[in-house]
Amino acid sequence: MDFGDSPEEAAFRAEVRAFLAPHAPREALRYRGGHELATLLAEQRAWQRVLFEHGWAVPGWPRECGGRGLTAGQRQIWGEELRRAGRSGSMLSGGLDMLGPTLIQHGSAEQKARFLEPTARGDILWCQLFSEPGAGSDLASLATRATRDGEGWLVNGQKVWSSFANHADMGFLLARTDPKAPKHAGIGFFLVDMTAPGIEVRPLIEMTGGNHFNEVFFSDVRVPAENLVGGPGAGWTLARTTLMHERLSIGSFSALEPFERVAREVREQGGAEPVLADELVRLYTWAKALDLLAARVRTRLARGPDPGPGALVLKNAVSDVMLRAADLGMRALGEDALAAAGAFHHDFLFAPSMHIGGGTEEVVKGVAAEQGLGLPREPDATKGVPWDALPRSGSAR
Amino acid sequence: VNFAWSEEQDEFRASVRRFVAERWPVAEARRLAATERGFDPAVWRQLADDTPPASGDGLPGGQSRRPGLGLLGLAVPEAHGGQGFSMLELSIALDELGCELAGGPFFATACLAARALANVATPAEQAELLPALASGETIATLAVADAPSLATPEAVGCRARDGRLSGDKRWVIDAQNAGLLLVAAREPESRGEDGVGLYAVAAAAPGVRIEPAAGLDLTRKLAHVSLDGAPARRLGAAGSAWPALARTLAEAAIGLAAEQIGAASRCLELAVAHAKQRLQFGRPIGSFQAVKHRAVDALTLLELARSAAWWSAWVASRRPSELFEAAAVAHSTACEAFEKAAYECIHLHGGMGFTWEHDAHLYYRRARADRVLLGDPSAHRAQLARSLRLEKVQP
Repeated sequence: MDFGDSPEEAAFRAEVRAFLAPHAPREALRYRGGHELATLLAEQRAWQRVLFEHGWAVPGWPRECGGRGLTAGQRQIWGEELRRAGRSGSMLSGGLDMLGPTLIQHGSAEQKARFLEPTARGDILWCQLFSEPGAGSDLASLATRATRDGEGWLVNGQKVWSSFANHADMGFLLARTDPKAPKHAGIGFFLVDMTAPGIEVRPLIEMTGGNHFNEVFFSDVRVPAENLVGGPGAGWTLARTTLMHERLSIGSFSALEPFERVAREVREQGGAEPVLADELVRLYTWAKALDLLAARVRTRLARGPDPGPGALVLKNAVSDVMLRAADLGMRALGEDALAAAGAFHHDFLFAPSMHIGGGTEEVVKGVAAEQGLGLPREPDATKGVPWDALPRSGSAR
Repeated sequence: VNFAWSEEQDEFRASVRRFVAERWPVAEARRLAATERGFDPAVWRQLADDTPPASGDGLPGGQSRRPGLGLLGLAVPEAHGGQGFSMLELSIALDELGCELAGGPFFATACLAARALANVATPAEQAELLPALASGETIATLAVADAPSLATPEAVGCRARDGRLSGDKRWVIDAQNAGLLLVAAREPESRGEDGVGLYAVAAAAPGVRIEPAAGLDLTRKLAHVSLDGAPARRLGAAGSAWPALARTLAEAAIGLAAEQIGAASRCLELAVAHAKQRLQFGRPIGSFQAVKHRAVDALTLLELARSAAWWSAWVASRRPSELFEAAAVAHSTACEAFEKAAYECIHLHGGMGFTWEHDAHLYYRRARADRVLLGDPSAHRAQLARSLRLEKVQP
């Protein structure tokens, strides 16, 4: 047990700092609403190019795929130093943290050769095309169809909650290839060109007033055979890999950040009253413990495939910390909370999405109970039933 | 950052677990609760025996040393008859004892008293007093504040004059079992930190009255101590013990957190095991979402608190500058996790969990009492609020 840097880790940190100091732009990039997404994307692409030129674009990928094959400890240090330099988080992370690792694990040699390098360079902005109006928590019930069209596929249907789809070059799509198979078995994982004819992207305005998400409509969209990853029925397995990597990328986030934002406000005001101060310190204890838990999960992952039950509760714990921080931030504002905008208004309006996106609070708890505590599964009435015989809400066909 | 225990530490944990499961399981803790002392002297002697397990023979010294089961001397320097390990190993032992609510005066002797002596006493005094603690010959305890609270210098009211102490210390952990009382007292006319000293008082000395107190927590013995001109011997330098006492109590909060993690883990294990086999509406109750979510809420707090507890034990042994912050974080999260797990253990057992005969209430009682012993977590957080500069400074 050692919470300091080992000599090797200290050397690696020095190496990272030596690279970042002259190269990282001084201005921190921070998403603060919808209108400047295109500007933000341009800045992030330029930065990704700098990273690529110096071999730091995808340090967590294996060496043979253009990465550095960093250990879990090194990835942590890389994340910490990026954060310190105001460079953490990226619109490109769908490709860097989700699609890339999925292709590395499941893609054909040809697919890797075609997509990995431009993804690492930031040339391709990838969006995720998973959720549908009728398939949220029960993602595997999705209805978007991929039918055989000669050698290739023809896609019809609708996706929703696709982050940055209106800026994306490519998307990774789950579509039903076999409606007669049980719901998990008949899904394919496709790579689609977002400029292909028949794709229509309609931006959604969220409750924050910003635009993150989109609806994506497919009408007879042609997808070539070589853009199917794995077999036509392998999509569910691949999606699980993708979602696992999405969860792991949460590890590069520090739960102390939202606390620190509130703490700064409170310090500027000369301190808080005892009740608010106590709630803030309580938030601090959770946030600190959460960062420690994330580090513990990374240590486990570095030693074997099982990250332990702690990994399964991270997502909900992060969401709770964000909700709490937003609430305390608004409280610290006093009457200024009544204004249309302020230091914590975006956080406050964004916070309810935390327990919905990436698996709802309830779904995540169910998984933690079954995989982490070994509690029995809910009896599943849809098991083994062909997808086209299932009752579904909001058909997208 | 490396969050893994060493192989030696893992093996040590396993051997403590075996020992506790065999010699001091919760059924035994329940039986001992009804006795005056709350421990079995034969098992106590075994807790002190530091003969390393057979497989550990011949290991080289230094980092790869494997702790023997001599738990009482675990964190006592080798020169004074102990094993010379740190709060990390001590926290492993407390965690495993906590699982079964076992240990009796272990916490008082090995964590409170032994650490107080190591932090406050001179080397000569340590050489004289520590070996008897490590060998199990002397049971000892520590009373800093006059009543359980976050220890501040103001909470030390007991008076020291001409080598005699007068004053009361309430709810002292295992005082009725102790031969040696370590008592904080202040010199006449002193205020604040100045003038606070640590004194050794023999429990059998004249002027010492120890009155066992019936407590909420049935598996930890407490007593009220009254001192009326009791002869006492000052340890360490005159009147300047406060900083070392404050460190000792921060270490105690970290040790207590480890014990709470063990107990909370057991509560969750019991609840989950029950939810897997109890059938209602034709299926295990653990397959219902509402039941799963309760269990996962407890798991979440436990995993957070466990991470904080492990880190805090490392801080106690390696990063003195972060000791007070680590103690507050570990204490606050451990109290919340243990209380939640103990409550859910009762609730998920339904009517059975509410009976005297089920162990759930023993843990529930312990969880609540632990919140009080070293001061409520909110008091620790208030201290942390000041060091994080979050609290309005009163003019």
